[in-house]
Amino acid sequence: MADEAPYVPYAQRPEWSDLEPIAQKDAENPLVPIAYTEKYRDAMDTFRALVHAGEKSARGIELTEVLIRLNPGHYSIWAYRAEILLETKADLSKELDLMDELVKEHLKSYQVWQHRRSIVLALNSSDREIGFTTRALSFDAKNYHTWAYRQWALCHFFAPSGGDTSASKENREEVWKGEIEYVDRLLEEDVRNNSAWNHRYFVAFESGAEKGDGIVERELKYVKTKLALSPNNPSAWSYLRGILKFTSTPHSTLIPFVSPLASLSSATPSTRPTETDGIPIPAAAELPAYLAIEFLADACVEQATKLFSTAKSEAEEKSAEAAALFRSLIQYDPIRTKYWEYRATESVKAVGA
Amino acid sequence: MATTQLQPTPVPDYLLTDLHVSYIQSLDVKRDLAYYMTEHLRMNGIYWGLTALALMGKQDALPRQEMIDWVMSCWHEDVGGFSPHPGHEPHIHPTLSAIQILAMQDSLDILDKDRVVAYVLSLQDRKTGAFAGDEWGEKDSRFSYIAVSILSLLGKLDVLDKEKTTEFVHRCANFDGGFGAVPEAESHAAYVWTCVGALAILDRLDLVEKDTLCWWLCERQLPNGGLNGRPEKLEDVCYSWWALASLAILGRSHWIDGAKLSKFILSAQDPDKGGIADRPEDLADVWHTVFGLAGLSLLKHPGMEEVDPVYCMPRSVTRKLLGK
Repeated sequence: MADEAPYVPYAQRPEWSDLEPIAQKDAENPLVPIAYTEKYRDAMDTFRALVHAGEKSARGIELTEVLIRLNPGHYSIWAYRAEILLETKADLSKELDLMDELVKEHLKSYQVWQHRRSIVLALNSSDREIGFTTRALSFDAKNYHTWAYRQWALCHFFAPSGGDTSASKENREEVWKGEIEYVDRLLEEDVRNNSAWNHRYFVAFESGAEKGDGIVERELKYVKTKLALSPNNPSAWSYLRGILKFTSTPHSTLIPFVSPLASLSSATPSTRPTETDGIPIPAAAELPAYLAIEFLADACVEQATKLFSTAKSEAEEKSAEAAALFRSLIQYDPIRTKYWEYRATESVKAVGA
Repeated sequence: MATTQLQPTPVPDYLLTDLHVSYIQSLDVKRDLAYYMTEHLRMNGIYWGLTALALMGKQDALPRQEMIDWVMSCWHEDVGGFSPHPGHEPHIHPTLSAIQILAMQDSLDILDKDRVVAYVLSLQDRKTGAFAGDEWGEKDSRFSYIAVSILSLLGKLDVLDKEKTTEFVHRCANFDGGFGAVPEAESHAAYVWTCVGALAILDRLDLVEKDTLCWWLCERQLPNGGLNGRPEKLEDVCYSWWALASLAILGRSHWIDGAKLSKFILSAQDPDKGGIADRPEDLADVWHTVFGLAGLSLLKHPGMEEVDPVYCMPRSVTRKLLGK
């Protein structure tokens, strides 16, 4: 049976023997050194010597790779590695290959994303970045860094206005269209993925890639379909409210769509609504959806405010309706009792009742 | 054959102060691999540990002069900033932690404040108003908060281009009332705190959609009492700080069910070794310990010192330093 080869410290290796390792100043020798600890300390001692000598070399690239595999959070190692790569004019696409390989373990490290960005900017190449983030999202569809990076890559390399990107107009349009399709795919897998909803809002309303009334109509239809499918989905309700705010559309226009979802007549199968605005509500959807009731309450508040100056008594009626709806939410969402009570009191106060 | 069943120590529903103190004291003593691998977080870690102790009224549990000397060993005269550990490069984040430690140790007078101010200002992007963490240029709203907090603690807020700084932070606001790391990034409780904190220091809370944001924040509370960072994610003790402190700054901390949140934080304590974890039965760490304790302080848990929701330091320190 072959034993694992004993670890050879860097200072004893021919290619490294010229460099004297610099130990940590306050390092204590543990009584029982663990092999893994030994490897890390030795590599760090050698790294310190390398940095002290200001050496930017191929063996530095090797050493920093050993270290980032052992400790991906160590910021200075990434920074020094990037310096070496750029100064030695190393093959940066090879570096992206390494980053592609390591991404799964490094998803939550700020440093790895900043490092990738530096390399990609030096390469000035966008070819791999969208595909890379798609792959990274397949490991963790809600990873915050990945989504922010994808948005950065889209804006930097495929800015809809053109800017100084080299991508053609057709290419850019294709890329942004692909984003809507991609988000759609992700929401099919998990309709509650808040990051995907945020990205959709970014593409449709903030990127400048899509223009015209057709977009609003399309997105309204989309979110309504998803809400009918899964009416207890906070992200979808947020998205709907986002569209209304963006287009300055009153909540009341959605009352016919929302009411069946807030329906309290789901006690028996025969009275349970099966569709809303022509969109089927599956049997599995849990009704009433309290977020729908909240929406109706907000719509009443809006209406009360509008009526206040011209029809005071109607305004008071509407605000009382709102207050009752808010109070009814306490039974569905008891943890936010104080919030619902606040909304109920405020809606009545607003009309001076 | 008789067998003994090892029962896990039940977690009491009160604060295990003495155990948390000894846990924090042990952090610098246990020199295992994790200790060396987290050098890049050391300055932050000392700030977290010291704040946790201070909020329990036990700041003296760690030696004061030794700590000050160690902090100053991370000072980079050539740059005007602090590194997270000797031998590492300076960065704006450990610079804030260093200043917070010195402030809590009543030792800010040893600092060359003008050098620090120059360093911080050098990191601002003149075009966007955003701050980078260091020369590598990573920018996000955390660094806006850090820059503003540093200048405020040093009494040098007047030299800042407040309008430009505010502009970037405001651009991080989203359609749901929340804030993200950079413009258009998803709303996330930690970034809500950094943006709201920065705006509070800059006296621009008028830019916050208060009702919508506070609704978004109180929606972070899950049936088990814990808070998450964004919709459909898991609860985590650290959001007891990010989300609750944001609500406190906006005067709405009562919108959270405080009793349930307290219970959740206390249930995440390690009843054997002390410290607090991200959620019950997980491994404790100093990050979750300080934010769990700070959360309990915001909830006015008995025996806790008052925490400043904008600076995450004892209110007694910020009141003395800022005169308000």
